[in-house]
Amino acid sequence: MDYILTTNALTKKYGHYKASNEVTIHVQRGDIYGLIGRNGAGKTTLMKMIGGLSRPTSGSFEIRGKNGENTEKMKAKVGILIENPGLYPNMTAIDNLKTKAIALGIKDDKYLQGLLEEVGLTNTGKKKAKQFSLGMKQRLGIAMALVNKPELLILDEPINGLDPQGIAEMRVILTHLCHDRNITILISSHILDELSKVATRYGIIHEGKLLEEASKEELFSRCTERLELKTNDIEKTMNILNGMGFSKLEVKDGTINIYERLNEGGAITIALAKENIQTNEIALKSEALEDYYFQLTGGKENA
Amino acid sequence: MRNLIKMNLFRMRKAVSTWVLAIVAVAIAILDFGIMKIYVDDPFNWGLGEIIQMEGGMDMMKTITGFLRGTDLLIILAIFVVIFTNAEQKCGFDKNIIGITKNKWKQTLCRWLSAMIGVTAIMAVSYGTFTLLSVVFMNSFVLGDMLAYGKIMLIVYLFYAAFSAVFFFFTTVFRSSAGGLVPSLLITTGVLSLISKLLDLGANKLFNNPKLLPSDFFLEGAFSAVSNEASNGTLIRVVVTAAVYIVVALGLSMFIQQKRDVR
Repeated sequence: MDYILTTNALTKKYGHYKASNEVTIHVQRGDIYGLIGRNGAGKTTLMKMIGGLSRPTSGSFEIRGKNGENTEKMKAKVGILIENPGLYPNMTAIDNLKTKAIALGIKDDKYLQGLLEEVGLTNTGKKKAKQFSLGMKQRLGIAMALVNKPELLILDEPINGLDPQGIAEMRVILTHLCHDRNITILISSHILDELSKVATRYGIIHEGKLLEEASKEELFSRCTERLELKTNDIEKTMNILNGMGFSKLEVKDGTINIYERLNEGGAITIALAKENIQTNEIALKSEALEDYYFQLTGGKENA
Repeated sequence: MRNLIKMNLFRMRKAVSTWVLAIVAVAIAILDFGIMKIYVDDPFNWGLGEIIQMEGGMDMMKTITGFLRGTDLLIILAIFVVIFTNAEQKCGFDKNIIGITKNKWKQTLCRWLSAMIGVTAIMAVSYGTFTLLSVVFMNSFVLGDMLAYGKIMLIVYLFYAAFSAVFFFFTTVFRSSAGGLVPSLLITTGVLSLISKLLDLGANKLFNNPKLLPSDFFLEGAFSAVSNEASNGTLIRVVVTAAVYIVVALGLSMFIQQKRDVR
């Protein structure tokens, strides 16, 4: 396996409290690795240790097979956005990038402009970072993390507090970075639904301990996803779906749940439109992943 | 390290506080000059002029070193050092930099060195303003003893570095502007000198030795001993005191940063 990051029993203690308890994860090159866990589960602590912001109490981690803690060269391959984007509020977007670039000896202004383009912040001009929306700040934070041309990007809750449009934009950026720039991403979130749309591999963390590590396929094989469909005529819709060969269906609270061929949402919408049936909502739901998570972590009362 | 200093200077240049404090430093120079002018012209015939005049005209060395040894400029520098060195941590920018280098102490050292460049610039602006005003508006201005002048200037600068290192240390320990400013201002405004005087009294009583003065080894106490009239022995003592403060304050700041996690 081509692992870009592995941790080996990484532990962080604050007094007697173990914020991270012998966590061992394996991140393959090209992964979008989702760290799932409730607030206070130990995601940030783990990321801070990997990002060099915090010293592990015990354990170690390797980046590209080399000890990550003591190798400056390896650390330079990591970009981080932890908790909030560290921006100078009175500086413009480009000046914030320049500040980090100067520290790294990067003099290429075009490269920095390119980073702003990548995260959709080209038109901010002389606007200062303090005047940015939360979504813009998060995107600038990602651009900051990209300044050192990282192979591994560590993003702690980057979608926290964003509106639906901001979340969608972030998804596009992450997918672009992973697919087009071949950057491996370690991302944490407690919003399972959103994480499930981008992550290819998961680590479920709870009370400082890693409970499970699995690929998207492995995890989802343990869960059942469904397409949730809402239309203006449920009876007709059911007939059409049956006609299309769907059999694993149920109607619940005015919503049709489809448990098979989940990638055919587009075909269903077209078929319904042809019969003049209005699709009010169609969405891939993964509450089952939540259920699985709750089962692992000890129930909804922990969420 | 050169890149880190460059980065710090870039953000210093972009920070509004740098320019505001530079303007305040100029204003202080103008104000201090105005006060000196009143002393020299003595419009109320209080006999003030004799204090800073010498035969043949004004002693430039005496007036300028007198200005630099004042606490007004030191207060501005305390505010500058605390605000500047705490800015990275306050906005979280340090997270972008610290993670990618192994030696956090290097970043700490560079931050202080950059702050010292700022301190030097503010000092130079203020000193330049005062000197210019003195040359233009004062009659019969003479250079005085340039060698002694240069020596005192260097010692004063060493003390500015020592004070900056101490302000920097407080900011590092408390990780906040308020935490850095309160003890720094207590030092610069001379409030802590009361404590050092009490220590002098205590030491005198305890050891029955009037020459044993702990206040001599307090930074502000040593700074007040810097003058053209001071003996070589005194000057050596104050220089060593200032150097020890720089080494200890900086060493502790670097050690703390190296060992401490980033919030």
